[in-house]
Order: sequence, then structure tokens, then C-alpha cells
Amino acid sequence: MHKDINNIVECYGCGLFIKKEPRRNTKQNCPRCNSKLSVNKTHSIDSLYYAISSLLLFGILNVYPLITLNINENELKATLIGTVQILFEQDFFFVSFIVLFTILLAPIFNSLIIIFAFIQAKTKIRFFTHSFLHDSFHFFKHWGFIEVFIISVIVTYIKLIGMVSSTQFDIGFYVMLAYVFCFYMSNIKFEGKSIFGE
Amino acid sequence: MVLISCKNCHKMYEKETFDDFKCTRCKHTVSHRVKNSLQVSLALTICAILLYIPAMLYPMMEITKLGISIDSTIMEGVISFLEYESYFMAFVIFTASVVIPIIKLIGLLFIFISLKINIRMENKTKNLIYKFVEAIGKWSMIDIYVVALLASVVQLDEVFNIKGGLAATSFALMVIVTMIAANRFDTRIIWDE
Repeated sequence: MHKDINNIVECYGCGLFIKKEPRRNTKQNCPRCNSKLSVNKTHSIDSLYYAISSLLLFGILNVYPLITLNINENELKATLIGTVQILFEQDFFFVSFIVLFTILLAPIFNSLIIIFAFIQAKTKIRFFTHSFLHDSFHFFKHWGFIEVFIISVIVTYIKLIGMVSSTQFDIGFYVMLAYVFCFYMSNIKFEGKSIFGE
Repeated sequence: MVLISCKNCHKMYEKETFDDFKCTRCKHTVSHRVKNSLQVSLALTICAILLYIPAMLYPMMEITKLGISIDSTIMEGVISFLEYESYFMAFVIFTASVVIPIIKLIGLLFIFISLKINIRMENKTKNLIYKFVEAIGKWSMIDIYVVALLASVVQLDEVFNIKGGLAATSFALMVIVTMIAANRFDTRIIWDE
């Protein structure tokens, strides 16, 4: 009994095998556990543009502070890299590494992987194996917490304004909002499985 | 003939048995179910529970104002927000640092125990609990980032200074360990007879 197994998909929520919806980009749910199934999503070139934009914005974001405040004519600033640096200086090596990885390294690598995937798909240049790109994309996507960090910046602002009235959001915060938008869009428009080119 | 798929790249195979083999597309080992998923996830969850105790008892940050140092635990931070009548912020911190970790740990433990003890609950509900636990996982990191941001911005030596506390390490470790525990668990075993 040989079925066309390429038209079958496994639900990783409950292990049920289901016939794939033939139409592309249509949402399909598991009839047993109602989990969302992986759909025949098409790859969009927009993902590349968003990934490049997010990397550029990330560069700008590191130049400007996120929050500034004045205490006795001393101007204090919070930058993205400063949060990692201060934890490292205070001997919180593990926490410093976690913060460095989740808000700096994972999002940067995520965007870079998308760019490399497009370069490899459109040219004959091979930097990495398809498997490496696919696994790295999912790994960095899972461990990048930039959206959590932006909420933390808002919480910090509210906490600081209760103590020091001169606290204000700086350019870095607004750049970060644009960065998070581009970063999210690049991930939404990118389909990990299409790295294999099948 | 049995159907088996690669959990990593989702490629489907038709095989004689459920024996492990290498995926031709992504080169990962394809197994019928993730090996020892329940045991590993349970061990990590217990580890996270143990880490949560020092995270709640020890200070999350140390605030120095005009030479006087005050230690502040997670709960003291929430209470200080309530004292300043900043109810929304108290709610955010309490939810992210207390409610979410407890829901995650209890949720995971409940699913694991329900696989060994017969608990009357639909598999669909267990799956829903797991998905919720997985989705809220990273939001507990808010408190760690807030401490890091406060410590980086408030640096005026003895006049006004904020430092991270001992609980920061155990709390961050607890969040990461819980996320790995949830990630490592194969929900398909809930549905296996």
C-alpha cells in the first residue's frame, strides 16, 4: 500500500497523521488536538529586506541610549550593551551571558541566518549546509527575547519615573520599536523548511 | 508499513519498523518519539522548582541611597510598587515573576504526573496546558532585564546606586531550565495508549 506520503503531515501535538490541505498558505488544524499544523507556506523575499533593515536598525540602536535621566546635573543613560556590561562588571557572569545571548546575539544571528539563506538560494555560493541554516534559524528564533526586553524597558521607565522625574525615553527606544517590527516581519515572512529548496 | 516523520524538518517516511534512522534531508536522527522525554523534562522541572526557592528568598537587587543599602526581593519590589500606588506595575511584576513561573512549574508537573497517575482530564486539555506553558515561558525574563537596565542606568556610587542581587542568577537559571524542560517534552506521548 503506497500512498503519496508527501501529502501527509504529522501533528507534533498528538502524533496523528493527517492529509495536507492542497491549497498553499491555508491554515490547517489537527482534528484530534486542534494544534496548528505546518502549512505549505510560501517564502517571501520581503523577509530578506526586513532582515537587512533590522540589522541596520540594530546598529543604530546600539549608538543611542534607551532611557536617560538627570540626577544633580549628572546625565545617566541606559544602553543595550550597557545592560550586559554592568552585569558582567558586577560579577553576574551567568546572567550577563543570558542577557547578552537573548537580546543581542540570538536576534543578530537570526537575521544573519535569513540573509545567508537567501544568498545561498539565489546564488551558487555555499557558506553553510542547509541543515545548519535550518537548525540555526529555529534555535535563534526560539532563544531571542527582544520583545520581552522592550516591555522591560517600559517597566524600567515607569519604575524610574517614580524615583526621578527627569527620566525619559531616548532615541534608542524609538529605534528599538522599529527594529522589533522589522525583526518580527522578517521571521513571519520566512519559512524555515524552504531552506532545503524542496 | 508505518509512517514516521522527522521532528526537525518534518520530512515524511514510510518504514517497516519504528527503528531510529538518519533523516535524508536534515541528517538528524529520526525517532518515533523523543527519547526519555518525560524523565528529562521531569528532572529539569524539579531542578527549576529548587532554583525558584532561592530566587524568591534572596534579594533580586540592592539599592544604595546616600550610603544606605537596602536589599529588595521580588515580593518586596511588588509591595513597593503598591506603596507608590503603581498598581499596574505591581501587577506586571507580580504576574511575570511570581504567577507565570508558578503556573509553568505546576502546569508541567501536572502533565507529567497525569501520565503516571490516572487523572480524569481530556488529553486535549493537557495539550492546551502545555502550549500555554510553552508560550508564556520567556515572559518571566522581564524582571531580570529590569534589574539589568536599572543597574546600568543608576550608577552614582554612594549617592544612588542599583546592583543586581543573588536571586538574579537563580531566577534566570530557573527560567532557562523551565524553558528547556517544556521544549524537551514530547506531547505525543500524552496520546499514546
